[in-house]
Amino acid sequence: MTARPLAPDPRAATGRGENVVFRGVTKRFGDEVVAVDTMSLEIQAGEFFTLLGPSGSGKSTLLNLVLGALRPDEGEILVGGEPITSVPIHKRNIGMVFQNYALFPHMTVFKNIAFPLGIRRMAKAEIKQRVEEVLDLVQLSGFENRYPSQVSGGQQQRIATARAIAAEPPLILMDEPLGALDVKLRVEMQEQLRLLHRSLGVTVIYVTHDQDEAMTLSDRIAVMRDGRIEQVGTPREVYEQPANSFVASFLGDANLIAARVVRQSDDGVELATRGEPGMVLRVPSDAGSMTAGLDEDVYCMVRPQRIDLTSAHPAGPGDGDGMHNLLPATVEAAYFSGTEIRYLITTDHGDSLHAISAIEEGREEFAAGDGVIARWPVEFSRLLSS
Amino acid sequence: MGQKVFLGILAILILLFIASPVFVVLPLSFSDARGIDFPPESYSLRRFRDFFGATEWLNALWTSAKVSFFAILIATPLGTGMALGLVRGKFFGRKLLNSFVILPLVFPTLIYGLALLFLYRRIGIYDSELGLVLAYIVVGLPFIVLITAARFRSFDESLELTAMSLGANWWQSFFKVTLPLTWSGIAAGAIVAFIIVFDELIIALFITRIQEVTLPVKMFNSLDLDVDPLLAVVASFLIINSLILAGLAALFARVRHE
Ligand SMILES: Nc1ncnc2c1ncn2[C@@H]1O[C@H](COP(=O)(O)OP(=O)(O)O)[C@@H](O)[C@H]1O
Ligand SMILES: [Mg+2]
Repeated sequence: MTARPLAPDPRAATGRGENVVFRGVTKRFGDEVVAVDTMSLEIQAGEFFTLLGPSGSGKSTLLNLVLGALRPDEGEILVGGEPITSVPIHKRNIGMVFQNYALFPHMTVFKNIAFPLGIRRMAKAEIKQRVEEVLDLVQLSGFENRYPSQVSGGQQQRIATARAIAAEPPLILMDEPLGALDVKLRVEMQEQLRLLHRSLGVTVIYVTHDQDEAMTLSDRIAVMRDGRIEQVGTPREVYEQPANSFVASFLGDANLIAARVVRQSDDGVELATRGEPGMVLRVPSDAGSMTAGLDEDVYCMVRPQRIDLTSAHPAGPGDGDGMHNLLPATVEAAYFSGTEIRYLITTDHGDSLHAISAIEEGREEFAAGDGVIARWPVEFSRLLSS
Repeated sequence: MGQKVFLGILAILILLFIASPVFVVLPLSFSDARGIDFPPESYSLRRFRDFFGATEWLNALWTSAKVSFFAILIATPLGTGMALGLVRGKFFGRKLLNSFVILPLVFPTLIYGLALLFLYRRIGIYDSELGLVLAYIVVGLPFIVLITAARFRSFDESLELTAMSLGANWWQSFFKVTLPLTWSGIAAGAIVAFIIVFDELIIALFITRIQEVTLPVKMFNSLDLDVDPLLAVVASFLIINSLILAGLAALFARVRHE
């Protein structure tokens, strides 16, 4: 792979991304640790792809394999169709942004961003023009002569991004690039990154352990655990149709109700909660990546936002209309947070659940000790393996 | 609180003990007397005048300076390269090698001197500046490796990775990023090695005879006959030299590259 010539206007340059394919990639550290385990994955050209997972799940290792800082023990990685495992780092033309930004402290902002251009022996005037362009893109014009130590953390982040895109690599890797910033700034920077990605059209592989960030930014997310991918999908898919209880819990709050399959039919699966008497829960038939056998132990998953609480009196418990699941419960605690109330409830059969309800005119509010009915549409129930 | 004061006083006492030769030698070198008299009754610069008039002492000083300088000049890039390999290298046995680095520091100098004596006689560089330079490269090397390796170990590898991801090959990354940010550590290592080599005596005694007398050897020899009062001057000279260099090394060790 050779460096591509610079487009005259970076904002006009779309569709410059390259796809990335992992074929059975494994990386071990010593005899014990398998940081990346026979991973196969295809990332589309121009996609904003996020590796999401808890600390130690192998995200950075995977990124470093693409970057070339590490070599896989097995498997092959292809960028733009070309195998890259034996290409040295400096010939890969991949932009990298580390969590600590890795700005060269002995160089000014200008020199930092000009670094990849100088290495490519670009003419002085061109370098100057290109540095101005990318600084403008990250809204830092006028910072050319500062040193990295003389700008704020958020600005350092943008300088690192500007430097990574200066030579127009078709692929950019970012390892928790916003991890060191405070929440407010992080949200701002997420928007900027999203816009930047749109205007550049490059492929981005982004690493984070923050599920909100992953969902805000990404075209697709790979949820990782212990060096393996648990699920790949759009933010909506992984959130609403998690493949298993790990993914469900990792992507925001999930209520997991232990249950047993009692009946299967075309229009759904019927579950019975543990304990006596078992309450009936319905799950749509397409609402699970698993096919559950009769009598199998499973989880019924529902997001707290989907659960509606009503007073116990109008209908009898379990008196479903076929469209809703109903569980009688007692409020343990209610937390007020300005726009919503978060309830902790215990169902009569012993499960602890969260329910979140928006504060609205005419909506019932409850206090600890109140008896309630937890009610949610069948379509928002998911069947997960236990 | 009382404990801290006690520890402070103890530290000062230990330092005074270590530095005590300075308090003897410095006054002696300014003494006006013909022989050794401590504490001196009157002071003058006479001994310094004598020293700078004595060509054999000046020659010895010159030999030591030359030999040490060239040895460190060669040992520094060598040691830096070795340190880089030890810290960044990806080869089998790197960890093991790391634990061998200090071996030359504890290896008996007497044996090393003796071995060199046999070797040098055979290959014909006994009693030569070249022989001294070669021996001192080996003596200085571990100090340089240890100190620069410590510097490289604390150096953020992501800077090098970034440089390379931006298109710099290994050499460009080293000279444009790593070296500008670590030269002070390398300089500190070189200075410490220079101090060590400059007043090395034992190996020099083995591998030199008449031609190439280093300053420490000359001092040692002048003890044979009678105690030459010029020794005090030389000693003062060595102490001041070491202090300045050590100060410089300490300064370099503190340089922050921002
Ligand atoms: N250089 C290394 N040497 C040994 N083990 C490592 C090294 N780098 C990472 N690991 C291990 O590999 C696993 C994955 O690490 P990493 O990729 O950094 O995870 P993440 O970025 O998701 O937090 C962890 O168990 C970690 O301890
Ligand atoms: Mg990581």
